[in-house]
Amino acid sequence: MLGNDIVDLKFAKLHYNWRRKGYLNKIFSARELELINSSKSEHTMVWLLWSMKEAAYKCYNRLTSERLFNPQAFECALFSSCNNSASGVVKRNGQSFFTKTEINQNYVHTLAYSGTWMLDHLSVQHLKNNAAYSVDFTHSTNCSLQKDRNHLPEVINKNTQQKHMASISHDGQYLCIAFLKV
Amino acid sequence: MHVSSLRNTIMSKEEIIAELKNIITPYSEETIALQSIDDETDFLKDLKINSANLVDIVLDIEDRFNIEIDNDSMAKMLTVKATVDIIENKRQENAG
Repeated sequence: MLGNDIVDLKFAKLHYNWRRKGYLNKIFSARELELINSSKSEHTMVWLLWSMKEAAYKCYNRLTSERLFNPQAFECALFSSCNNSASGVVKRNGQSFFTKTEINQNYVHTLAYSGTWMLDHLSVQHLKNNAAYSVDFTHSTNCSLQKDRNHLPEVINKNTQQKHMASISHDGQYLCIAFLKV
Repeated sequence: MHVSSLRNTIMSKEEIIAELKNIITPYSEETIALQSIDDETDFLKDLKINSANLVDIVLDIEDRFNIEIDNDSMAKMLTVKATVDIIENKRQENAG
């Protein structure tokens, strides 16, 4: 299982007001709030943990077909984090999803996956968030995007016709497509 | 009518949906889907609301209807119908 989530940090500053009273308490557990409060960059930590939850939710949804909006039920733990990357795990109902996050001044992008072996087989395409992203994707990868029978995204290799599980995320000016190359 | 909170006011389902539409509108650019909002309208699929703004909608609903929405209720708030059911239930609890 695979999921990805991107947060445009500048867009987030304008459109998602996490400093609003009650906002963080709806999303984060006491332990996660502690991570935010003790972080040097609260803004980045908020969106790092949020993107971990969102990416893990996409894995969980693919696994169970259950749709829900309950960010607190996806508990994050960080193994390591620094200025430009983080790795961790998100747990939900005894299920664990591993995460790897790229951080820079523009965005936070998290990949979540159900098995650690998957990390070496993931391909990530960063694109502009526009209506023609699917065409842009085909231009740069020679693969096309489609929906599988569960209406979830999949990538099909135009040369081999091989199908790959995929996840699409967009926010602000960024769009990211992750797919499993096996 | 513009009041700060709708506590203790008797509201029909249609009035709740109308109020909900006011709350949701700033967070969706899908004007056509917003105009034809009904029970089946899905916040993410139809209105393309960002999940980070779903938190705002939940907080706005709490303020506007003077109710408290627990996590298990929030988990279900993906459609208009589910949301109206939760608002009605919580308002009833408050009245009782």
